[in-house]
Amino acid sequence: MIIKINRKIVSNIPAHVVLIFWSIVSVFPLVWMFAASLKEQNEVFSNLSLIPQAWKFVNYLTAWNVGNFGVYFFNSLFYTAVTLGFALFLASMAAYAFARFRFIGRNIIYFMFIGSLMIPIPGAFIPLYVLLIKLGLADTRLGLILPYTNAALALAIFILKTFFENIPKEIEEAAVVDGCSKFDMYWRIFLPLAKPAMATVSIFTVLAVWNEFLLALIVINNRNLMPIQRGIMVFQGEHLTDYPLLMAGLTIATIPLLVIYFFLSKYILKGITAGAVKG
Amino acid sequence: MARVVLKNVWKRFPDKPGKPKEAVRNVNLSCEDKEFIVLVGPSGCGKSTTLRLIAGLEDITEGEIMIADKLVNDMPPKDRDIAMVFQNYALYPHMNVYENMSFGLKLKKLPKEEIQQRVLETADILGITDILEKKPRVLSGGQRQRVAVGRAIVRKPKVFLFDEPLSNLDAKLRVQMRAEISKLHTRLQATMIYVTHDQVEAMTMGDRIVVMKDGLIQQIADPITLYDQPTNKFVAGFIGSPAMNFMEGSLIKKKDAVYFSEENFTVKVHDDHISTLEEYMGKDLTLGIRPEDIFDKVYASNASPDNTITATVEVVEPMGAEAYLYLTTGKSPFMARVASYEQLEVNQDIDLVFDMSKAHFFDRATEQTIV
Repeated sequence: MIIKINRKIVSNIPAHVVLIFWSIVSVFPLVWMFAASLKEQNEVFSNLSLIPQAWKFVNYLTAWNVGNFGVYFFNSLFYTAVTLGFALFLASMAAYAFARFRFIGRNIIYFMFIGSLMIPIPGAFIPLYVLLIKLGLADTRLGLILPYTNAALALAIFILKTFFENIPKEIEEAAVVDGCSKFDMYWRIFLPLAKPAMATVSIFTVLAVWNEFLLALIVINNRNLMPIQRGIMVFQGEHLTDYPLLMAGLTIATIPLLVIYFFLSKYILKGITAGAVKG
Repeated sequence: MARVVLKNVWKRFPDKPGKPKEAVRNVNLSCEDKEFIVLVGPSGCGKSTTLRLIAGLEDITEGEIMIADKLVNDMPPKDRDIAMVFQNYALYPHMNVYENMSFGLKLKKLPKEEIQQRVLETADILGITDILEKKPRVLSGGQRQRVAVGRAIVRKPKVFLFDEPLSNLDAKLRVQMRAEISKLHTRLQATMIYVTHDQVEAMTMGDRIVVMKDGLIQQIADPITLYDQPTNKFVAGFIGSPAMNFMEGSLIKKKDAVYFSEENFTVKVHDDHISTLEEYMGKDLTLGIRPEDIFDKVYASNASPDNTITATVEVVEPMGAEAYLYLTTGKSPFMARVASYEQLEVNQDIDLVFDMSKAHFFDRATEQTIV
């Protein structure tokens, strides 16, 4: 028995060596970022130690107030929350219709949505920009939220539709006999049942919107409307790159994602395999 | 008065283009108030479809359905005043038992106090008061079934519809729930329509039984009539366990008596049957006799050369109180049900007595019952 366990451990060693090495490579930049955010400007590249000489927590305060990161942070929160709300609402309704209603053109419309997954978003930037200008939405919050929502819909619909299709027909029929209207069915049965799928969709959407940079770069020029990724770039140009402040800003930008990963890693794993069984 | 009446009901599903599948063919059925009707038949016979038509989960293609003397053809299920129990329970997984049971009442916008009172009352009847806070996934099969039944009862519907509600339960629990549903019927005094493929369930529960095959109703009758006077060979073979034996042969006249002759044996037709069988003289027909109407000659009281045949034992199945014998005449295999104290061995030849007063005869071509 003991020998067996030992053999198992031994056979796992190479895999773990690779994984540990990879973890260090992945985590090191984050650690360096955090360390640098607490150093002084002249210390960043001279002191190679990860431990700062003087722990300058004040960098965070400066970045937040002077560096405008407070505004950027709340902008990012706003864009993420609103996009998520729109995406969940629209995608769940659309997915419900795709999964449970029969109507002419159902498959064509569905595959158009899914097909849009194949177009890289930067590939659509020029027409999108022209469209936003014509609609008067360039450099507005809506000009960012609408394209973000649009980009999030396809994957969200795909995940939710797959989930809805797996809800047994009898549950729906029981609800019909119980007196559910079509909307009741969506609101009281399908939506609550879809919580895990909604969590998956939320994670993907939040990650995508929070990390988005290119579209924000093109659409937003008003500093008060910029999300954090866009703000960091402005900051870099303006201050002859004050690295500790920049790193403090980046750390602030990273924290929400770390929190999400920490609490929802279960759903992230599930989300990666969502639709794998039946697609 | 919750009568359920089906008049010339047809259901066709679009199968292949231009060739619709007829799931229900010209069904006429009248289920009286407070009656317990069981629809039974092999899978694909249209029994579940018929139930779903009554529930309103499927649209009927042709005909009329009336519930409580109201035409409900185009009425949505929620307005038909019915409740349905599904085979796989179909409980709402995200709601606890209380919420599952109260869901329909909540949609009807009943006052909270009344909902609570009704749910607690029903939970008490079904003995599920202690699991009201639990989610369906932690319940056992039997508990889920009770909740599903409870969800139907709280709504106080005019008609209960059951779609094979016991088939997911294990054998022991099935017998227990069978009795409980029968008890509920007595207690609630409601009209119940029950679908099953299990003829034992049908026989034990139904006031009347509807036997279906290929979308057609074969016979509607109370259990005993169905057992003693089946209208055709299908019903005769479907009802009863072990099933009725069928042997092919022809009628011959010897002296003044009429005999049924298989290749390897001849038995005398009972006097009461002769007049009805007159026109089949010399023609091919099928003899049907139930395993319990065949006796070992040693223990039979009315043995005579006219009703005794010799057959070979192929398999002996001891059941405890009795034993099933699988036998052959050389041409037709058949079964007999004998007392378990009879010591019989495989390949042994034994003499068996047919109780010809209980025999049935079927037309070979139409399979309709002659006697």
